[in-house]
Amino acid sequence: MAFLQMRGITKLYPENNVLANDAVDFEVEKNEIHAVVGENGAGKSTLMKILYGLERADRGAILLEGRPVRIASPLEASRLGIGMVHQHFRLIPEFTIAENVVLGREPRRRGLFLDQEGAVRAVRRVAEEYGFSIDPRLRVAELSVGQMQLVEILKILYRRADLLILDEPTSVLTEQQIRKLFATLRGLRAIGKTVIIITHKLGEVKEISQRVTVMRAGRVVAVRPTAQVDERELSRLMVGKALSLQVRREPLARGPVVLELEKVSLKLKGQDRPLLDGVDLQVHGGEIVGVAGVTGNGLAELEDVVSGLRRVTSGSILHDGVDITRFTSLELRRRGLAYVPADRLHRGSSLQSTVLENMIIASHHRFIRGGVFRRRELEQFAGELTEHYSIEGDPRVPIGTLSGGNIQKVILARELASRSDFILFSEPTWGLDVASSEFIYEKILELRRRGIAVLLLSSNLDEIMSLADTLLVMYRGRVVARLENSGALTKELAGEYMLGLREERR
Amino acid sequence: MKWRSRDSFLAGAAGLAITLGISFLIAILLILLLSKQPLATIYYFFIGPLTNKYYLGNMLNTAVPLTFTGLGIAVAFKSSVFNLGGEGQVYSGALAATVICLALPQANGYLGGLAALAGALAMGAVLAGLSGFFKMKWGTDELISSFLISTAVGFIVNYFITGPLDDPGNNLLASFAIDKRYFLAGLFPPSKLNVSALFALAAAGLVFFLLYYTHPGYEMRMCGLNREFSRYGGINVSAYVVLPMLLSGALHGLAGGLAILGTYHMAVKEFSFGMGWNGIAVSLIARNHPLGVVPAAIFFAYLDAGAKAAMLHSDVTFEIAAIVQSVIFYLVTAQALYNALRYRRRAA
Amino acid sequence: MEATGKPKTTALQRLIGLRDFGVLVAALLIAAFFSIATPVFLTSYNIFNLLRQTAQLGIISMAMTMLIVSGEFDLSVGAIYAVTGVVAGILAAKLGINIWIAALAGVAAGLALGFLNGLLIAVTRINSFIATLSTMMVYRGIALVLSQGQPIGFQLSFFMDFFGRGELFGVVPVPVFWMLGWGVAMYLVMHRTAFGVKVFATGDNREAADLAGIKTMRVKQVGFLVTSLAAGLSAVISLSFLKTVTPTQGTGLELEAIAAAVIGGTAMSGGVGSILGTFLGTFIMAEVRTGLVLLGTDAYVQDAFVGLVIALAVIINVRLSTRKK
Repeated sequence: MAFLQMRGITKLYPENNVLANDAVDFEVEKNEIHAVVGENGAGKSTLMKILYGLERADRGAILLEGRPVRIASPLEASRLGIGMVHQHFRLIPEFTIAENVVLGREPRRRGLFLDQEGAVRAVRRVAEEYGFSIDPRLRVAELSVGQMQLVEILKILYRRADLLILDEPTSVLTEQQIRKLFATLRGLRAIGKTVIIITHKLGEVKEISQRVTVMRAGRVVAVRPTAQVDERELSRLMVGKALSLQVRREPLARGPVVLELEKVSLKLKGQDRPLLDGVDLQVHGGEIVGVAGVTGNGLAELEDVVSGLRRVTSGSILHDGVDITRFTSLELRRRGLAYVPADRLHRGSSLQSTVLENMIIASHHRFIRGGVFRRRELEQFAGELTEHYSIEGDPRVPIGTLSGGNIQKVILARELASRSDFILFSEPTWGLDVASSEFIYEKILELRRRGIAVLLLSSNLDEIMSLADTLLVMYRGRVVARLENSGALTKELAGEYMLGLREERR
Repeated sequence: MKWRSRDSFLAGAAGLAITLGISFLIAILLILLLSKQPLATIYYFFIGPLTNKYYLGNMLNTAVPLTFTGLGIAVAFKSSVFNLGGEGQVYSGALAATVICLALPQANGYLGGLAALAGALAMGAVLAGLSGFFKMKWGTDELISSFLISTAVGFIVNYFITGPLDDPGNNLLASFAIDKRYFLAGLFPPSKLNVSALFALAAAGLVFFLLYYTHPGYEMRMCGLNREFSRYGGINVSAYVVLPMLLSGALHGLAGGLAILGTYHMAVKEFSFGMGWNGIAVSLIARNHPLGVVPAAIFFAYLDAGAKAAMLHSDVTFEIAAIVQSVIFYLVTAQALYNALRYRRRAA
Repeated sequence: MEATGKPKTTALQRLIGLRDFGVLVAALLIAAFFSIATPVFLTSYNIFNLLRQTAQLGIISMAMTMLIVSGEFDLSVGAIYAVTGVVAGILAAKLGINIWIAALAGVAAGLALGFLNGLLIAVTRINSFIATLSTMMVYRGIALVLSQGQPIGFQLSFFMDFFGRGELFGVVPVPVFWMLGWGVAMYLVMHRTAFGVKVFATGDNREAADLAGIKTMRVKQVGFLVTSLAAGLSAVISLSFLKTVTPTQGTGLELEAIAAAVIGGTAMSGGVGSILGTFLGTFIMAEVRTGLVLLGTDAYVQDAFVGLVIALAVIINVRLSTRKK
């Protein structure tokens, strides 16, 4: 009998109609380290959130050691001996390690008063038990990222968890810290704990786990003993067969280089690992450069950096030969930067503003004469865009009332109206229906035809492989592959790069 | 500039009407509870202010500073900055105007008056702008810093009025009176209504024009609605933390200056108390719309005048108006926030 | 994995707290200044007078510290202070009810108002600054209406001595004891109990606190109850000392309480604060006022000075708060 069983778990997110988990069956044996792998949107995070009580499944059951259990909140999960280390830490910076570890379960003296010395002692004891050496009196704000993760693990162990869930634990760690983490996990297993590790790093799966569950599109597609499967096969299972989207690409007619990134790096203070590591990139006019990668490997940072919303730590960005590295968003807009962001609702639009107000955010200077808006020109502009992009809805209503597809069309219309020679797309069809997606693909290809340089960032491999001329893959902040998208390129190959199984020799 | 369709406007108006209706009912309830001549009191409370020139004129005059402070708050709220230092900005603006007039007893009436108003405007702008600067540079909550600075300033102004500037000749805690040449012309004798009312109307029109027809107005509003989006669109977001505060403070300072030149003619200790806070209520009732501030200010002044009339002719005390005003303030705030939250959740 | 190293503060500093130490030094410097400026400052009479002044504000500002640390503000304390006094006054002086019961009723009324504050914040989720701004007006109006705008006088009795007028050992005013008792209780709760941990956690990182199972809304509501209790207690002491209550009493009290907390090192953004610091902050404000009085300055100069102190404290606090971010 398995230690943990999740049966028939189904979860639908109604807001964007995504079936995150589709009748998922998941089992973990006692005393094993079990890896759960899958691409973005495969459903692994959702499954773990349900296990930890952060979400409720629409259907399905959870059994712990054969007994059915209801997990309605993290507190209940904790009581059942389940602990989770999140990707983003939930620590109180002003408190010490000891205070954070015991938060919510503080040792008391005479019932009411804190036993601060007792807390320090208890934490020290737990730490020694598991072989960590820490000083519980340090303030969390003074710790490094790797150390903070350790504190999170200690929190779980202090609560006598038997089942530990780690969600992408190595994404913020250096190689050395990863070694130490794995040693810790092996030690925990030796003492009798069970560990579930969510990851997309197949090399690590091979190194640390006994069994692996592969998820794709909300379903479990395979469960294998790690020893019996190799990374290639895992990658194939994760990525699945290629869907051919009905797009026709004309032969490539490349123009001069429009956008160039030279050794761009991004490193935050206090972080051990750079988010972007010496990225080199070139986009020519009339070309679509696609950048693929699993979330957390630098795509979002690349987006922020190219759009000028984040400063690079080192390296330079050139547009038409001009160094735009230190440009503000205003200056970039003046140069005509066009950018369709991944975050449609918060960055790409202002939901409470009208469609018209959204349309002119980057170009409103054009409609001013003597400091005042010209109404007729505005209306003309709105009319043109609405017609040309088949946008449903009166330009005078708040954009938040439009459907997702229409909102994206407004954003597209706006960005394309800038007549730039370069445009950045990030996750352009995420959450959209088929019709809207096809409309967008058409527009992207049209841009390519007109000689505009297109940089397309996406975690959707099918999309990239249908549209891109050149495919770059990012892994852990670096470009690990630069591939021509000829017929020879397969999804599996791309997947292997995305998952760190391969790297191009430079 | 019609940015928005009619339907969304009407929906908001309906909710407001309900809120105001509830407030009226509460007022009537209180009167029934506390007055021994409820009918007479209700008459004086609701009809009294409209019965003669004196009451009506004074009522409109009370609405003038409320219009300015309401506009100041509207500008701030539309840009998503919170100016809670209105009281101090009005009061110190008044002091600045008084000081300038006192320092120039012989100047040309128009020029001197203009200088006084400029000083009042600048004073308010600087105080509010300071909070905006703190927010831009160090991320401090401008809500709290503007409140604390304003109260500190209030103490200091008190000192000046009752100390160096105190006129021993009048039996009040007030400064010397400004020269007659700086008084603003009356509009509706024997009431105190004066030319500043025209300034108020002009200001409302100007602010409306600024927010909805001009370039900086658009940018301010967009920053207020979604800062990240505005930055993405190329707007200089940090400037629009300080600028709205400067404008808001300027409007508050002007309220104080005009009150001195038009109505009080001398700086009386704490004469302006409430102008700042009521400005918040006025703006909220007006849904932060500059043109709506005028009727909202008049409404507020109407409640005030009604209470005064009832107090004079009937047996209730002034506090009824205070309670009703605060209840309205609370109800309107709650409703405005409820709307905003509901909308955000739906769209998220 | 290792996380070793010496903690960056010494034991003594951690006992008193780095910030509190700074405030203590400031308080001593100010005392030194005034002692030199006027000989009367250092007399025991003056010192106990100072302490008595500190007591009334101190009770409220220490309670306010708990609320600010949890991330909220209560601007209605002054009004609650007035309502408590007025209710007690009406019951005792006008209706002849036993003073002890009347006072209890007054405090209970104050608690009800504090409870209302907490409820409002929980249900409407309005920023507490704005919310309590409006409840302040409503509560003040209630005080005015109940008292019909008139002050109410009390008869002398043991109650008065017990709470306000008595002097222990012939020298120490009773209010000082009440404040010390309250201060010790607040200190223990904030710095030595699990509840105090919850308060700090709620203010420092509300999300993390929620996930750790802390009912952050409950924590804040308790904060409102505590400040209203403090207002009630302070009102009882005040009416015992002055023998009167006026409906306009306590105007500006909330500001002084916040200022005392801010001077004492409480961060306006929450998560940082100390009871000892606030006590010292209140003491400093009393020092400044008393010292200026002894120097013969008039009331408005004192106010202006207090204003300057507050403004200074805001600026310093701004720099301190942002370091946390």
